[in-house]
Amino acid sequence: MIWLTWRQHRLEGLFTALVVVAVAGLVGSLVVSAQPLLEQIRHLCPVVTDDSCGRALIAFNAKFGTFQQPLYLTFLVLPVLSGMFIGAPLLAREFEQGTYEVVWTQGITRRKWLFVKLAILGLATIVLAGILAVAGQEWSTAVPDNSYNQWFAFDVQGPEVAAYALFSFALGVAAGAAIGRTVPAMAVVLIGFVAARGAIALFARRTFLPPVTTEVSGLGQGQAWLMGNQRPVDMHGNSISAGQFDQITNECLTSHSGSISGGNFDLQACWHEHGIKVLQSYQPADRFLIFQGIETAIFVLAAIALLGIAVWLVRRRA
Amino acid sequence: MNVALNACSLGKRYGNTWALRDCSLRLPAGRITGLVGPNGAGKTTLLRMAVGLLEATSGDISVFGWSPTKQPALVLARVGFVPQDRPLYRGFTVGEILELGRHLNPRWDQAGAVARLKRLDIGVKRKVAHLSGGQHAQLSLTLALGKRPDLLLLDEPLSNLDPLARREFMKALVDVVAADGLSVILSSHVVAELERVCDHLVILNGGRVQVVGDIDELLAQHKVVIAPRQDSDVIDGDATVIHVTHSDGQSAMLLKVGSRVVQPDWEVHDVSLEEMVLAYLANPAAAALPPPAMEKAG
Amino acid sequence: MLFHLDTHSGMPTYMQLVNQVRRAIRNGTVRAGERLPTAREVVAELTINPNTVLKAYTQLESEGLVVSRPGLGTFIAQGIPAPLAPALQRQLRRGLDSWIRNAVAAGLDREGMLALINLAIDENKRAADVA
Repeated sequence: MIWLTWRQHRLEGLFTALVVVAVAGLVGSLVVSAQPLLEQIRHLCPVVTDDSCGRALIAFNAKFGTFQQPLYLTFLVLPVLSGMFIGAPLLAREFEQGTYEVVWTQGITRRKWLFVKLAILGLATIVLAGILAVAGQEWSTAVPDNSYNQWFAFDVQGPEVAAYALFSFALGVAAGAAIGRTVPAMAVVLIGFVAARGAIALFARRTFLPPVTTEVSGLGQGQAWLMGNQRPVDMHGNSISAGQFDQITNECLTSHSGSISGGNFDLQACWHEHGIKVLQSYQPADRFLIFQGIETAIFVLAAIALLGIAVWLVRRRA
Repeated sequence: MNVALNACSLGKRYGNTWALRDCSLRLPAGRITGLVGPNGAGKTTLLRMAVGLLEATSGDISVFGWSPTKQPALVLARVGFVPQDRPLYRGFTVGEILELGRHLNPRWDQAGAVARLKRLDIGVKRKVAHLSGGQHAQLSLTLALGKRPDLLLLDEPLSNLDPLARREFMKALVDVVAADGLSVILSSHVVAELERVCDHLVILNGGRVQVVGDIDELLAQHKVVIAPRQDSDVIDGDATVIHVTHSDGQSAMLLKVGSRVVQPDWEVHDVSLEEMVLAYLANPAAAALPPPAMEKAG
Repeated sequence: MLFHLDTHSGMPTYMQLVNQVRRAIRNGTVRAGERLPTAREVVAELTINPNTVLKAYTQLESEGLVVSRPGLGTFIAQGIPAPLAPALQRQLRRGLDSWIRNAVAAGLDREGMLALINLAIDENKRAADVA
């Protein structure tokens, strides 16, 4: 059965592995070749106040900036492939061509046949996605510190990448089992995967845990995930208008114009003097791992449910 | 009598249609049984239920005493199946098809399978997609026989084969029956194909069993009789009219004769298998079944 | 011994095989003690059901014409009537040929001739039994 799984799926398996290894290799080589410039940036930026830091950053972007978007998109797209090209044909092709009548009447039950296939291909999917996740992590942490926010690289690193791939695979298998035709099953995977990922990433993720709201002290919040804009309120918590806020802020800035840059100018104290404060909702940096865990769990549970449906459909097929 | 296949009030319903209804039969081992009937009569349904691909809606079926759905491992070890249209993985080579059989079956005669293909001059490195129709059919047969089954089920095995390929296929089949004593059930809607090699017969019509029995006995029991015109359905004695055609003064009747000999002024002819089958198919209400006393199958 | 199958005769296959063996014995084509083809060999030649061959051989054995030895095969029995001596056969044929010419001239067809011959055999047999 292991031999049969390999023989039937070796082409798509090798192809997927090749793509993953190629992407990981590309990322690896980029990271390695970026090290000199990154060293420079690490030395220059914290201490120097002239524009040599700025110039180093510009040089970095010029050399590596063009890779950011395409690589990001590639990482987003790759998990779909496991569903479309490995998961969808798994059952659909057997039903379409009638070959299930041959394999299910040898000496092996259809349950064992399916379990072995799902186990081997599911495991392969997880492993390949894992490689991709590691590459994603390397690449996103290689970016210069002051332009990196881990939350923007949520989708390309961590266990959730393997969960996306497993979900995509499970969706393909279930669609193939239900529809019985390969091309429509592939379409279902594409649409379903995009819809699920989009819904979770854009709408659900922010609700995993209730956001924290604190006062803004005028500086950034570091590695936090900012939710919504800063909200200026009075001391009782009531919102004040944008116009009012701008007026107060300008007053504060102009009355201390001499000591803005590099000084210990306390914008927050000035706001308090005027009776306002600025609130910001956010997800703290230390919640990153928890969020990864929640997203992983969602997609893994969905994958298990879909695989269960596929097994049930295969048992029922009469 | 060793029973290869036992069906007891077997039925299969899809939505509102019964593909097979109240089907009871016992097929002896060691025979080549022909399963005939028009398209849609339920032949494929019966075969697929025997091998566990379909579950019965009512009644039950057993193969050598085992249930194909409840004891699949036992049944699949003893039963070979060649499905309709003989599907195979087209990208595989001939050798890889045998590998498939070897890996998926607990008992597998690789040497025998290889020898059989060599005798047929089918190279193991050839891709399945490049085989001729006849070679493809022989490969399907070889795969089904590789596990050394005790019962072989074939669903319309000769469809889309040219006459020579058909003869070669049947030759291979009867050879293995002569050598190993294999039981065979094969379906067709072309009676002539089966007449040569079958010694047992099942006629399915509209999902129901019309006839079950030994072919030589059935042919001895059925005669075509030319007689002065008879308009009633009832014949003296215990003969049953299966089919009748009238001309001006005469009736030609295909009868199932009982023990009483027909009247002396009647012309009696032997009947061919095809004539007999066609007469039954034209008259769905007629039946020639063994006497009741079916034990529950499986 | 080579068999032939006539698919269009009304006769069951096993009977055809039986008759062919009987004829072969009568003609001297096979001799006492000679081994008949195995079921597998006949089946390879004719593509028929092996049980049919076994049925034919069983029938022949019940008629005393063949003997089956398990593991060795089926053999023509010893002591079966010897084939007709050629000279005797020629003499009988001459008489038959002239009779046939007379019958044809009288307007009998094959059916008619066979009916007359069967009648004559039966009546002669009855007379011999009575005597």
